[in-house]
Formats: sequence, structure tokens, C-alpha cells
Amino acid sequence: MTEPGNEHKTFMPGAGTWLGRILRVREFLITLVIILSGVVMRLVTPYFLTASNFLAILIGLVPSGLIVIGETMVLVGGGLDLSVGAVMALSGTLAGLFMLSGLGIALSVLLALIIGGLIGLLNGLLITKIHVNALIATLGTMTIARGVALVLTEGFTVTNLPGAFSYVGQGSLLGMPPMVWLMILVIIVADIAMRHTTFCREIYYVGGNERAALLSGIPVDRVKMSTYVISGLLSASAGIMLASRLMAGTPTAGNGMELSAIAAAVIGGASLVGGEGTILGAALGTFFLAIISNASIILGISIYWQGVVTGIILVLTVAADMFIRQRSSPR
Amino acid sequence: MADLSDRAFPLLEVRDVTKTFPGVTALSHVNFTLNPGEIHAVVGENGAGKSTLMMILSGVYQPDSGEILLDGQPVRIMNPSHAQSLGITTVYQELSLVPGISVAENVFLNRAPTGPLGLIDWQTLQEATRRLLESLGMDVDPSALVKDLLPSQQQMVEIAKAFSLHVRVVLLDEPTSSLSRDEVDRLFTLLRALRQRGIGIVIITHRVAEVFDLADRITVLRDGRVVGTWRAVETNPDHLVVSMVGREVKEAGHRTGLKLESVVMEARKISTPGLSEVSFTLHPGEILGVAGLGGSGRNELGRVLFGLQRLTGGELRMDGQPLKLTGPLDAIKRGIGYIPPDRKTSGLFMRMAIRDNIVAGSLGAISRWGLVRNELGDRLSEHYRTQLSIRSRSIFQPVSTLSGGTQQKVVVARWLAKRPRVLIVDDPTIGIDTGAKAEIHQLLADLSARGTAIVLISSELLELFTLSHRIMVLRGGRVVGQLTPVEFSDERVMVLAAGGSATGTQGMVYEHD
Repeated sequence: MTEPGNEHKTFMPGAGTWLGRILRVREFLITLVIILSGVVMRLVTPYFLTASNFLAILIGLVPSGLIVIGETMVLVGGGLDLSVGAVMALSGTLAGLFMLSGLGIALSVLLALIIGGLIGLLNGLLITKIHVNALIATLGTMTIARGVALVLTEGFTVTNLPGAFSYVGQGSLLGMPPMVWLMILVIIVADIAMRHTTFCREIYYVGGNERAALLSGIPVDRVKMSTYVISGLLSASAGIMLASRLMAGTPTAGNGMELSAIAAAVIGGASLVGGEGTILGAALGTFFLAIISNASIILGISIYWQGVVTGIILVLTVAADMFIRQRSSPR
Repeated sequence: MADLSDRAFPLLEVRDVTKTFPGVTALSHVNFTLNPGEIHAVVGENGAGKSTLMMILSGVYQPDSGEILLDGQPVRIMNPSHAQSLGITTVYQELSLVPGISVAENVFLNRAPTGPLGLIDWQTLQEATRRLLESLGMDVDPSALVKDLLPSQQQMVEIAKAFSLHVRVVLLDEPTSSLSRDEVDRLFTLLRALRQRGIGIVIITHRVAEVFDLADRITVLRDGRVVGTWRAVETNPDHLVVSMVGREVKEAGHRTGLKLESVVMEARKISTPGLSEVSFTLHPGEILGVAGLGGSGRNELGRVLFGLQRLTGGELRMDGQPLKLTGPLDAIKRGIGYIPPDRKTSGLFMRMAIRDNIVAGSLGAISRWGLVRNELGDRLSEHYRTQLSIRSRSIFQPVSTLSGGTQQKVVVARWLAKRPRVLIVDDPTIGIDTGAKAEIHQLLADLSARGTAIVLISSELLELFTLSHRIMVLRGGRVVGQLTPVEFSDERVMVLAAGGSATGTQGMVYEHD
């Protein structure tokens, strides 16, 4: 099928107008939806649009906000990381166990981070060198990491952590816990990095067409491996911050987080085939899901409904996206 | 087929059909008829419009103008399943079988006979398949898994699948491309048997000689137009080839001033799976043509020179130093570039912009302190967009919206931006319209004139003749001949490439795999 013309597509009409261009920027659309939800909630209840509620949302957002960054980088590179939630739980409990065993706070945190990075490296090696399917490889490490966390703690939460450890998660810096500032900083840095650094641009090429990337001189394996390592590191840091906030290492933390991270990234414009997505979009997607969950709680909607709502939003977003794409490129 | 000419209408008629894609007229006022019990071959070069015609008949595309008549009645073939219901069935070049299930299930895919509970009636299924295969003279076990069959048997199952319907017209797209000589014979026997039953058969191919004995009539397409339709008995393969190519081979006048004293790359008896003991030298500014049939090792040669395949023997040298390539990254560092034959799957980032495709290989060069400097990338891309006249609105247009030829220019631009010393090019103009083809030829000629050595692997003789300073012919992984421009001729290359006598290969159109 190499006739000329098969690959022709009509470009989206009106693509050149500023309105058309802005409407196709996912970040803008999500922001719009978030504002709209805020307005609706304001009309329904006075408890939503308050500083304290917003702070609560932001604090609750920290682990998922960090995890979604790594997940998005992996997705952009054409991969998938299911191990994020389990790595978060493992590094949180490990950090706690290290502290209890007498290692200093700094060393414990460092070790927990390294272990998160190593799991990411293992994911990357399995996927690039042994060519294990990303879904299977990270499903495996997810199960192992969760299992190890449960074995080490026998299912119990690790408590009695040194008091100083609570600063990051419970302290206050300019009105918010330091971990919230950290998350915002990491999101900004990662977003800029994904747009402007040579290394991160390579991730888009690898996800866009792995083979063409290889033939163009992009170190495909190294790029893919790096995304998994970054994802592991960010998952570990999310676990450590959660432990600091709760002053406990919870082996069951982050259950199902891998799926909500993927959902948030996709809502934010990432594609499961790779090559597309931004950190800002993914962060906004996470924020949006957090708002929905917060609103359900305020409105007294059963927690069981949240899954339903999240699922509907995910399906609607992706369906709307496919619809727009098909409209813009008729075969 | 004189007895059929009494019919008032042909079985299938294409009347004045035109089909355009942005920038390309794929088919222009095409007329074509198919009688019952006729085998009608449609031949032409790549890009001549054969596949477009086929896709219109199978309902994949709608013609822009003109009409299609079945039994003299105008029909609009809405989609492939509609074509099926009209009795027009298509056997695609790429097999559409499910490898992990049985022959019987493939043949009756989604139409399997079911029992009272809606469960598949396996016995009836096996029996029906066995009867069908026997009636078609096929010796295939209905319960065998498709993946365990030979390519020819798979092709037969594909055909059987088409025949389990009430079929009247069969369209075959390059049916012999993956078959051995024996398997081709068996396929043709089957097709003759079908012709006996009054079924109309259209074979789309670029191998004239192969279908010459089989076809009743032959239509030649060139650049989307019908050059002519002949009864096989009234023409000969040579005449058809000339009609397909449409011109005599002409010499390009750029072969002067080659400095043969320095050698940029040298291969000494290099071997790799598919290639054995190939030796050649490559001079700066030289275009070394590599000819060979599919399976001759010509693709492997390109891959091994770019480090995509490891050497199992022999030695590569660059600038007199031994060259051990560990992979494409290494090759690129040494100044070697590679344009792969499969542009869409290996060459382009389809969803990305022209700009991003051009700078893909030069991210380091347009970066400082790890940050990509977009204005440099824009300038670089704009420069090549103008220089290569890449027809587009801007450098931000996604390459998926460009024509094949324009897309290939983007790939060429990526390598021009890297200024390689040796560029390996594998079938650079496959499936590209004639205009863009000439432009890409000019680009390659200019590049070589500025000192880049080019290894031009091609399935098109004309392309090799136009550009090469020398042509190396491969057969069975070995070098079987080197030709200088005065020796360039279809016949000479074909004799070497096919390894037969001149008469056996005349008119046999050079093919790609």
C-alpha cells in the first residue's frame, strides 16, 4: 500500500485562528472545566471555595501530584508504569523502618529514594534490555514492591517516627506545608524541562516513533530507562512525603494509584500510544480529579460514587478527544 | 474468451474514474472492464495508481468522479463489507489471517456455523472447510493453525476465505510477492480453475512476466492514467515494460569530477545473515548503486553499514581505520546516515510537525546547556523547507498531512542537517509521485556533488541508472557483478540479479520486497 495519497489527511479547518488553537490546548480546556466546577460548587455550597478547603485539597494532592509527573514522562515515552502506587507504599514504609532502626532521617529518606530509583531502573532494564512488555514488567514490580512492603511490616503501619520528620508534611512554610511547595516546584521544573530540555524532547521522539528515533540517532533505550527511573524516584518521594504527613509508613498506601495517575495524565492530554502529553496538563488533570473527590465529600455523596464519576470523566474526555481528532482528520 | 464477448455488459466496469488526494492525482479518467471468466492483470510502477484502483473497487476509497458498473448497473461501493456483499472480494498483499487459530476458523471468521445453544458447531465447521478447500484443489488441513502453514498455504487460506462467500469478482494485490516459484505455480493453477467457473479476477502487480502467461488481458497504468489495455496474445512483456516506464533510460550528466584517489569507506568480505563476503570501496562524492531482487541481501547491506545488524565476518573500514559499529548511534557519530525504505514506520514521526521531524537528529546541535533553542530549530527547518521546497503551509504542519514525496523530503532534510559523510539510502522514492521523485534525485545528486558518498540501494533500475556512478549487483547475498555507466541496461542488471539467461528474465520487472 504505497500509493501516494494514502497518508493524506485534511488539516483541521480553522486551525489557524487563535480561538481554534487555544481550544485545542488541553491545559486551557481543563482549566476552564476546573473554573466551571468551582463556580457550580460555589453556588451549591459555601464550604467549597474557602482557603482551608483549598489547602486541604492541595495537601491531599501531594502524592498523586508527584506520581503523575513520572507517569506522564513514562507515557510520553510510549511506556506504562503500574508500579508507582506500590513503590510509593514501599518507600514510605522503608523510610519509616530505616528511621526506627536508628538510621538518621536524612539517610533513611535517601535510602528510600534510592530504592525507588532502583525499582524504576529494574523496570527500565526489563523493558529495554529483555524486551518484557511494559505492562507485564511493571505489574510484576508492582506486585513485588507491594508484597515486600507487606512482608516487612506484616501488614501493620510503621509508627513512632522521629518528630522532626513531620516538618515536610505537617510544618508550615508561607502558610502551607513544605511538601506542597515542593510539589509545585517539581511540577514547574518538570513542565519546563519537558518543553525545553534536549533530554526531555527526546522522550517525545521515542514515544512518537521508537524506530525512527533510533534511526535518527536518539539513544532510545537510555531515554526509556530514564523515564522509569524518574518515575520510581518521584513515586518514592511521594511515599516519603505521605509518611511525613501521616507520621506513619503505610504498606497499603497508594492502592489503585497507578490507574488514577494514568487517568489524570490522559485527561491532561497524554496518549497511551506515546509521544503526547504535558506535565502541566497531567497536573491539572490530577487537580481536577482531586476537586471532584473533594466536592463529593462536601456534598455528602458516597465515596463509592467517586470511582463512578472519575471513570465517567475519563471516558468522556478520551471520547471527546477522539471525536475532535476524527473531525479534524477525516480519512 | 470469445464466447463471453456476446454478453451485453462486462461483469465489472470502471468508467472515467478520477481520484485525487491533496497534491496528487492518483487516478485520472481511468476506464477498465472485467468480463466473467477473465483474468485481467493491472500492471504499473509503484505509484502508478494500481493500489488506488484496487481500493476503489474494494470500497476503501470513493472515486471523486466517474462511475463503477456491476452487470451494467451503476453501483456505489460504500465500504469493504458492502463490496463483499456485492460479490467483490479482495485478497490483500498483507495477509489478514489470525495466526493463532485454525484454518477453518479463519475461513469462516465470524460466520462460523453454530449449534442450538449458539455455540460453534466444530464438526460442521471442519467439514465445510474441508469441502471448500477440496473444491478449490487445496491440500490444507482445516484444523491446522495458520501460523504453522507455509506462506503459500496461508495465501491459499486467504483466497479460500474470500471464496466461502458468493463471490463474483476477486481482486488480488501483488499475490506473488511472498511466494516461491512453485507456490506461484500452485496459486496460478487455482486461479485458472476459478476462471473456469466464470469468476472475474483482477491481479494487480508490477511483475509483468509473471502474469503474462496467466492473464487474458493486461492494462498498463502510469501516473494514474491508463496507457492501454491489450489482449495478452497481442502484446509482449517488453512492450508492456516500455509502456509502464514510459520513456527510455536517460543518462544524468553529473558523473564527472569524481576523485577516486581517496576512499571514505571500504568493505572487505563483510558477512552477516543474508549477506556473504561483500567487498567494495566508496569514494567521497560517489553514488554507489546497489541492485538486487528482494532477498538478495540489498536491505541487509544497508542495515549492516548503519550498525543495525552485526558483522559476522569480514571488516569495514572508514578513512583507512577499522570500523566496528555497535549500533546506529555509533554509526551516526562516525558520520554515517541512513534513510530506511519504510518511510512511514521507520523514517517519520507522523504526528509531529515538519520542524520536529527535521531537527530530530540534530537536537544536540541546536541545544545549549541541555536546553533546546527553538529559534535555532525554526531557522534550520525553515532553511530546509525552502531549500528542498517542502510543500507545506509552515514548518509547524504535522507530517501526517503531507504527501508521500513531501514526507520523504522531510526525512532527507533531517540528514542534510546532519551533513553525513556517508549516506545510505534504501529505496528513497518508493511510492512517491514522479515530480517529487525527480526532486529527491536532484537532492541526492547535489549532496554527492558536495562530497557525501552515497550508497543507493534501490528496487528501481531507472533510479539506479540515473544516479549511480557504479552499480553493484547482489544475488543471494553475494556480489555478482559491478557495472559502469556504459554497461547500465535493464537486461544486464536483470541477468545478474536473477542469475538466469537473458530470455528468462526479459521484461521481468525489478521488484521490491
